[in-house]
Amino acid sequence: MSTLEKRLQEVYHFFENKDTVLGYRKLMDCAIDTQNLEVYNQIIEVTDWKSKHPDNETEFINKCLKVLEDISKIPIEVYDDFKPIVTATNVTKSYGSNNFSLGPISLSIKKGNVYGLVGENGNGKTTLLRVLAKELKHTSGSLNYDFDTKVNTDFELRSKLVYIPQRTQKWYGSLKDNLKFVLSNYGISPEENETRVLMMICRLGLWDYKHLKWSELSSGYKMRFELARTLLRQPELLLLDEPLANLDVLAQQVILEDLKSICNSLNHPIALILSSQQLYEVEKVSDKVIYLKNGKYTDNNISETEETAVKHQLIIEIDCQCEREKLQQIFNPLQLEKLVFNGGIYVAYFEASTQFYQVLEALGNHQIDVTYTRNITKSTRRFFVS
Amino acid sequence: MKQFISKINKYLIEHHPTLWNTKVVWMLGASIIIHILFFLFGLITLTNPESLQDRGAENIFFENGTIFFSMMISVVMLVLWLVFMLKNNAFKNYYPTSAFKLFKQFVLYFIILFFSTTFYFSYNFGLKTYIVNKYPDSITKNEVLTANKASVFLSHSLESYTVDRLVYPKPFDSLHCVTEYVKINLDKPHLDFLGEKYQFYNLKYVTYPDGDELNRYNIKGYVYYKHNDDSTTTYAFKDSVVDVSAYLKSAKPSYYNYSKIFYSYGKDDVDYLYSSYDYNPSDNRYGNISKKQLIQKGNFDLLNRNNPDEIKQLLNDFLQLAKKYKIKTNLDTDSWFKMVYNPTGFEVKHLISNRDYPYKKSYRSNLDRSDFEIYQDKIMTNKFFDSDHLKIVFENLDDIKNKTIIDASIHAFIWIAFAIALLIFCFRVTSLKSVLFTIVSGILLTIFISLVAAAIGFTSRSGGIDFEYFMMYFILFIASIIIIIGLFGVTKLKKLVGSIFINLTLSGFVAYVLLIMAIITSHQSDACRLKFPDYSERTENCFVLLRDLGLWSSLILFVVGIVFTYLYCNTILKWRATPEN
Repeated sequence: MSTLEKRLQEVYHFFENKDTVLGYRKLMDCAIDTQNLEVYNQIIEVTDWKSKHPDNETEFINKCLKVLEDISKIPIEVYDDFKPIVTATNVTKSYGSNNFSLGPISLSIKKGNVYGLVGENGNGKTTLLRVLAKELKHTSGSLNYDFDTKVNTDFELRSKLVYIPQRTQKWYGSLKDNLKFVLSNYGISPEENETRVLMMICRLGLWDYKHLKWSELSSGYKMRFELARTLLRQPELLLLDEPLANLDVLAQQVILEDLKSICNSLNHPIALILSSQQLYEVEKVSDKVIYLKNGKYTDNNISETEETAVKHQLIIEIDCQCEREKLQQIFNPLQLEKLVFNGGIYVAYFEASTQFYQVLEALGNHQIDVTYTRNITKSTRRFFVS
Repeated sequence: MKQFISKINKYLIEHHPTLWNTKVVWMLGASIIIHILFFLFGLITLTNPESLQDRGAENIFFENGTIFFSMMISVVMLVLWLVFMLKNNAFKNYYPTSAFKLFKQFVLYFIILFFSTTFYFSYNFGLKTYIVNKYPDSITKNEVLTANKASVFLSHSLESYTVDRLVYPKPFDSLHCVTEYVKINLDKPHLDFLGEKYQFYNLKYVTYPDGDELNRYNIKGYVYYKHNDDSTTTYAFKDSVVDVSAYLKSAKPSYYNYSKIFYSYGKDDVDYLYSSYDYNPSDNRYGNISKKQLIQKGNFDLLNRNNPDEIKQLLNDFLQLAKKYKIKTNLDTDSWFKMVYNPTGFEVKHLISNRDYPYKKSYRSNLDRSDFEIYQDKIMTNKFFDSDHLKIVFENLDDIKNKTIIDASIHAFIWIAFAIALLIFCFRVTSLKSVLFTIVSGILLTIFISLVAAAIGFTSRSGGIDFEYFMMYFILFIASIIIIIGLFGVTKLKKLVGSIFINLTLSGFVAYVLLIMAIITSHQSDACRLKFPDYSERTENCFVLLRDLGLWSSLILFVVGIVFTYLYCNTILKWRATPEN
């Protein structure tokens, strides 16, 4: 079964289980992959119908399945050239005014992958993103871009590096016009312009908001419109600085899932690098996490330097109303190596042979009232809490 | 309407994003409508003939407040335009752009600015269209002819009817009349009327070659001079006294003597005879003398025919045309005719006031006044005719009809539009911060140059260096550095500093070329001065750049500015793409 078929099957199952919200989003992803304007128009029609008949689920599912059937008949050109589009070799950036310096950092970015850039404040996340976006000049090292479409001038290169800063600029005028303006500048034919814009509006769930003014949007929707604008540019590399800031937990999850699936497009995959403080959420969607500490790069998956070396340990994060001594007593039989209390939560380090379920079992047996616990052995969170 | 606007906007945004963004279609549309309104406004401005009675009606745009109205509309239009245009900026968002696309934006700014600031021309076009159609040339020419014929009977001032005004027939056409008491040789034949004396002289002519300036200032006592085609000037001098008693029975003021031109329609038929004491060639005896002779001949013929009906008809025609132009008068054909018709000698017995109200008798003591003045006061009636205003009407008609609508002032409008377009372009490609810094840098540079100028001016007072050249080359040196950095170094500097150089180069390049042209001009005129000490020889023998190019230099600079802006767009793109330090 091809990836496309799998995806279509998945969408079918979502609708079968009446999981229409997620199903519809996935359906739209498949629709976008067809690059077929008729399918786009069908989606636009269904979205419009849905916004007018929000409660008629059965009819909605039928309409969606009809579109799904049509999509399955359209051959899709699958992108398969996953060479690195950005290769950074020993890139450093130092500011003259203070002692902070970033790097040296070496990494290669491939299409279809999501890269999570994490680290505490002031550790160089934004600097790295801006260096990659050619907004900042790097001090040393080399930075090579290898896009599918040939780039002749620096300005052309800049027009391909799409960077969304943490604080996006205000939009003026009609939201839809702003989106259409992007496409016409990118040379999209007039016949396709409106359809593509509406398709993107549908995909990012902005149908009911498209007539509003910028000032009438919540920060979450502002970010979504900004994303819509960005995605219409069909970028090969997308750099997002703190896209989750100011979003509630649910909105964070939705936007991350959307980003992930848009980046994994079959015929137009995108390399996405996003910086965030939301470790858990970012780690969930990232194919690779880049952890920056004091400007130095820690690869979470490949642990080589002394600093980044993960000792063979089980590291558990626990939030509970319990005395330290009592916890120590409970965990001692499980080869506890260290118990750290950092004010709010405990971080317990066990020998590698200890299993997470044993820790949970011990806590349960002693009727400890646990508010939150997480195995952070493989998460970059261990760097934050230690 | 709203639907129509959305439809056009949809078409533009999908097909021509730059046209949509710059709102050029709407701005030109609005400009055309306002140009039409100004044209219509121009058409109705002079519908009341009384408005033609004020001098300079061709410049009424500046007089009646239309200029403020026009400026206000331009400002409102441009502010609204900027509000809408500044909403989107493809270049700053790194949407794909080429140098040509950037340049296209600049040209569109220029076109928009030009069309929304030039309502002046439409207004004047309206004025001219109204005047040309309402007062056709053929009719006005006839009216001027009538006025010139009838004006002999508009006896405003006795002085216009004294014998010294005779320029027709022979021999008066070639005589000079002296009226100043001190210059009159009382031993020789002369005429006398109430103490005013008139003595006629023959004229002798001497011709000198032109170009001898010293000579010209040495020539004294001539009556008038006339430039000839063969680069010579003929001077007329008083010769011997002539006894004219055979031709003139008395020196009494008479309608025969009147030789004034009421109005000379069309500027070209004036004889340029320059009197040594009167610079207005149309007013003194010799200015436009051939036409005066012609008019006086007409008067002679009319008076000699002595046909009351013909004279009455003439007066009536004249009063009709005065009524048409709403000239104030209390004359009517019959009473006027009675005043002037004295078939024996046509002596002037009544005067008509040249005002728009009846004359009030002077209460000055007769002791202060000459007999001539007392007599003049005595024969002054309560009739009035506002001749001066009729002349102004003719002058205005003449001026407006001959007005070139697109005249040299268009250069001013072109440069205003160019400068504002550049300012907006700078703001669009760099930033407000950068434009403000550029303005501050410009001011600092000016202060610096002024200080250097003051210092050099103060220290070089004793001579040694040529201050003018030093300053020109000093400014050229500084400007060259800025332009060279602006051309080749903007990507190597900090981005903000680079943007300041971009703005300085963009806005200063035309001035830089003008400075080079000015330096060349200075050198040329200096070299020319050395080679040709005589001023009059310089014009034809030397090529002096700015002088000889004249208005062409404005056009050349404009083309240079446009071409440079286009070429410079590539540098702007490169600068925009460079990362910050």
